[in-house]
Amino acid sequence: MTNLRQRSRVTILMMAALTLGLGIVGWWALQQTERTANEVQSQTLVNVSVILGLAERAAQIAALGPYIGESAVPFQLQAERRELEDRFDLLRNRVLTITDLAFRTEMQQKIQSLNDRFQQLTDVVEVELFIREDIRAIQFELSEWLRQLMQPGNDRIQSSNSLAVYTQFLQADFTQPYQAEHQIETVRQATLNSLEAITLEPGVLPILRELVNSSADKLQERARVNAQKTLLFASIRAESERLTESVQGFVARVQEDIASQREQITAAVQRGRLGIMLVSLLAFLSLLEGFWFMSRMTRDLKTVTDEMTQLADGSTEERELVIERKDEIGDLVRSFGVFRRASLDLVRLSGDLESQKRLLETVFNTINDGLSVFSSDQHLLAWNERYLELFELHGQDIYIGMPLRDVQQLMNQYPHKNYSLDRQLLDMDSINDLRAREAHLFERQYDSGKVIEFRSQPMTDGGFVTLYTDMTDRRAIESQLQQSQKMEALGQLIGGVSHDFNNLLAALVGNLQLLHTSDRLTDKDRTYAERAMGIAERGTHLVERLLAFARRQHLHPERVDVPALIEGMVDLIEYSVAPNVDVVLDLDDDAPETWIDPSQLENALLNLAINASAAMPDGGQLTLKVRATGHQVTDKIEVQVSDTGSGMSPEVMRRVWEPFFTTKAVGQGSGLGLSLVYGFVRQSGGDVLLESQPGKGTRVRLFLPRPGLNGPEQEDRAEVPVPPVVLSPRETVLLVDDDASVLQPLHDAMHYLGFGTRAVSSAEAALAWVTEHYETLGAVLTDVNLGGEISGVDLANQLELDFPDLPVVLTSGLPREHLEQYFRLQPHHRLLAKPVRLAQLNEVFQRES
Amino acid sequence: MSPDQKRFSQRVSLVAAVLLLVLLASPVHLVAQTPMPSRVTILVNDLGNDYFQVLSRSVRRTALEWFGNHVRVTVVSSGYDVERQRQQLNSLMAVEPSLVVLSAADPNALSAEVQALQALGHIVIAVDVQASGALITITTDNWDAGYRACQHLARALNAKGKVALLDGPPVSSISERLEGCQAALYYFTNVEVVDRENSGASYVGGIEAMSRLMSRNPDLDGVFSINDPAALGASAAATLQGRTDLLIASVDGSPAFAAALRESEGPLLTSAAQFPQLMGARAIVFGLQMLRTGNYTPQEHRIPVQLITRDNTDEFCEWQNCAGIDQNTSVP
Repeated sequence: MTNLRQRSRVTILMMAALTLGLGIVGWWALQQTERTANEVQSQTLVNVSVILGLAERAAQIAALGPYIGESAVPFQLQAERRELEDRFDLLRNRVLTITDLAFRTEMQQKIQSLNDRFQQLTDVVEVELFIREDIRAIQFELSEWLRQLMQPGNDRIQSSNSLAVYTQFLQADFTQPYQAEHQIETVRQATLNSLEAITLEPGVLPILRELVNSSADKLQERARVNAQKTLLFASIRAESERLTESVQGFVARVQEDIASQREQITAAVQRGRLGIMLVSLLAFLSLLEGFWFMSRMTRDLKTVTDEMTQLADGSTEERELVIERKDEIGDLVRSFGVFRRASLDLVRLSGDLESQKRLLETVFNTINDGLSVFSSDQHLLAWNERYLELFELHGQDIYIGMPLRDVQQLMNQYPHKNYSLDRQLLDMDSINDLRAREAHLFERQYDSGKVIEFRSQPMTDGGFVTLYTDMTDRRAIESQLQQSQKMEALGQLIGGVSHDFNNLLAALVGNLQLLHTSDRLTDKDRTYAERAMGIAERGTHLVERLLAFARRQHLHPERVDVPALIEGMVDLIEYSVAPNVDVVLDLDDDAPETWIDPSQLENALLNLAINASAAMPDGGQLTLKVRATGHQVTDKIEVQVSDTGSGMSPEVMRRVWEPFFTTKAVGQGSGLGLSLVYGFVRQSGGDVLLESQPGKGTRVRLFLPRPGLNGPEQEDRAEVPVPPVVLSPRETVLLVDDDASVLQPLHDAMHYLGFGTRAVSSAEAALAWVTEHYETLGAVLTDVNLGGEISGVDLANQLELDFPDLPVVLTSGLPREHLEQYFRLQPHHRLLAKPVRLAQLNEVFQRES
Repeated sequence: MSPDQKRFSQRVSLVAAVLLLVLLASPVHLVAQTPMPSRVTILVNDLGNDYFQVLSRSVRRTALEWFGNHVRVTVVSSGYDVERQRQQLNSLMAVEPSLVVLSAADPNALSAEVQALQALGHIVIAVDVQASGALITITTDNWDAGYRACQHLARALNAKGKVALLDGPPVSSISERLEGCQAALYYFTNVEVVDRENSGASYVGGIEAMSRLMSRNPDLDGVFSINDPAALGASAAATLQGRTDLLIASVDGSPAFAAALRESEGPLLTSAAQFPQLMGARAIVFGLQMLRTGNYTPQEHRIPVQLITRDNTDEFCEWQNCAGIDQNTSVP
């Protein structure tokens, strides 16, 4: 069978049929048994009860016989007779219930016969009783007569004896009738004879004779009746016995019937038993088959169930179920296989999805950017932690479905402005409507300085996603970078300009000096020349300050105890600031020494103090503080100059280090003070930090380097003077400079000092000339920056290799450190700062004496 | 002498005195002038019973005394058979008018015969039991007999216990005794009549009936018997079963009962004594009187009873030789 349903249906139907069969067989057997039992009850049992009743009644009737025979008084006899008739009636009625007709008739006849006998017996007994009463009456009369006769004084006593004997005789009972007859007659005759012998009153004899005769007759009758009674007793006994025999015969027949019926019942029961056994066996076999079928089914189902349970428990073990069935369970197994593969795929898929989701969530929650998603109708859908942090919102204030307007209301608790990329102020409401349609990038700048970038992107199915980036640090760095780039550019610019201007000044000064030395000058001319030279000198100072900002000044760093330095200049500071400004010192006396140019430091501090004082027109407090710090760069000495003045706006702060930037009225400040401080500290290897809040005050923090960073050589080298170059009289000096305006005064100055010179404008020309005229050449004086590929330093190095005995002196407007850094200047190189003064040349170049 | 015995003696004396007055007052010429009945017939039911013997003997002797030796006195017994008694009565139709002393086998069944006989000039004197139509009725005060016997029984039971009744043939004397007994017991609320059985008024019947009563009522305390033979039979049955504690009251006062009272400690308690001798004598005297006076108005006489107990049996004037009565009836 291929179909489980069909098969179970057939099994159940078979079971039902067998059960029905069992029931039918059992019912049939029971019915047969019942029928047989009913037969027994309706016939046999009735007969048995009838017979029992019959036997009982008959026995009772038979037992009545003696009673009747011995009834003492007539009314008793009549009662017995009535009783007897009642019993016979009962017996007859009982006989009527006998089903066996022949037996009934037989019984009726026998009962009738017995009844007749009893009737005769009671009649006889009645007769006997009456006879007895009659005899008693006669006996009574006789005894009365006897009493009369035997009165005292009567002579008839003797003869009366026979009468008395007779009177007694009347009480006798006669069991033997034939003997009795004779005996009675004898006694009668004797008594009568004796009466004749007695003399009696007249009329008495006939009475007595009659009494004797009638009584004798009664006696005779009584004897006969007695005999009859005896016969009747015997007859009744016989009849009773016959009746009993009949009953017994019938009982025997009934017993046979019962036996045969019992056999029938037994046979019926046997048949029923056999049938029930057969059907039961069939049912049992069918049950066994069903059990085997069910157990196989449940086993297979259990296998499938176990597999399902394992699958449900998450087992992903791939295993093929092998249950070869072509029924529903087979279908189930195959379906389950498909289901399991699908489930496993699903599990894998959901696992992938889960990890993907986790990854996304992790990203979502760990990205440095805040993120929010709004629906097309501008309701909040999702956000991450960073979003809350950025806008300083609390988780409990935000909920899914919150309108954008409410969210922004929350954000508006901190004052801010929104700018587009091109720094245009934005209206947030108009932007909100656009965000769902197009991408938007803009910034929010808080008054506290925080900057948040909004990158809003519309979603394909409406709504928009926005990423929020905290740009505060980046903006600060950018602005710092911008600042330093600006300062660098300014430095480059100013450095370049100053350099050129310095060259101009060098030429000018050189010419003015030469002019000054001219004898042809009038006093007035000389005064003009001196005045021009003074102005040139001021120009040189200006250039120096510019160079200081451009970190190209000549510094003379040394070990400086800053607290001591400050203490030493307190008077100067107090003198410089306004009178209503208190100067407070907070000096760490244990602070280590710094490596710095002390005069420049004093200059810088004085500049800062003056600026601070200017920021406090209404007075305030100026604090100078020194302490060692590990801030930014390790091993720095921090010098703070702070005031309680008006402070600076961010715009001012951005430009404060620029040269010529000033907030003072035109003509009141050079705008170079803070630039100088900046350039000096930076050139010294330190750093400057400006902190200011409008209305609160400003604090300038200088971080100065500590000694040891640049090494002790530098310390010594700074002290080393340029060694003099001794020239023989015929030896010349080769001057190398790309700038003719510099070369000419230098040539003039050397000539003024008495040295013959030769001037070239490039390093290549210089090398060529040196090679040709080495013998007459005493030294080479060259500019470092020659404008070409070969610098003055390169030239010096080359000449050193080729002509080791030839001294080379370098000149430059740049500080030695700068040259060492950019032009690989060596410590042993001789360097003269531009513009080279006549006195310096005179010291370096000396004539052989 | 106990009070009972005293009363008893007084009553006997009174009865004797009354009889004496009646007899003495009857003028001799009446005797002489009145035609004497030549025949007296006594119809009884059971000559085996001493009571009837005493009654018959008393009638016969009184008749002989009053009517002389020529009177023919005949005794017949019906054996309690009504039909036989009817035949016996019918056989009297053929003879000359006579005195008929009838102890009826049935109080009512013989009414026609009685009236027919009286129409022929016979005088029917009903004795012992009533006979419908009889001109003279002389009975024991049977109701009083039952009443006094049962009153005594209840008292002897300390007014508490279960009592059974031994019934007898359906004649008036017996039914009156039972009524009297029940009337007496009615006043003893704690004495309960629990059963009743027909004794047939005979000794054998008494044994049987008593056996049945005892088997049905094991806790029986007392028995009232309608006559002495049945009481004696019941006593024998109770004694056989060891129930000598039972108390039996009876009516009759027969010599056998008195002898049994004297001789044994059995269950017999008391018997209300009848006076059959007196009854028989009165039957002849009242019959003769009716003949002499010609007043045929029906008359009824009841003879009182006397309880005999163990205490007074010795003084009891037995049926057969009661001197006083003999004397009072001996001389016409």
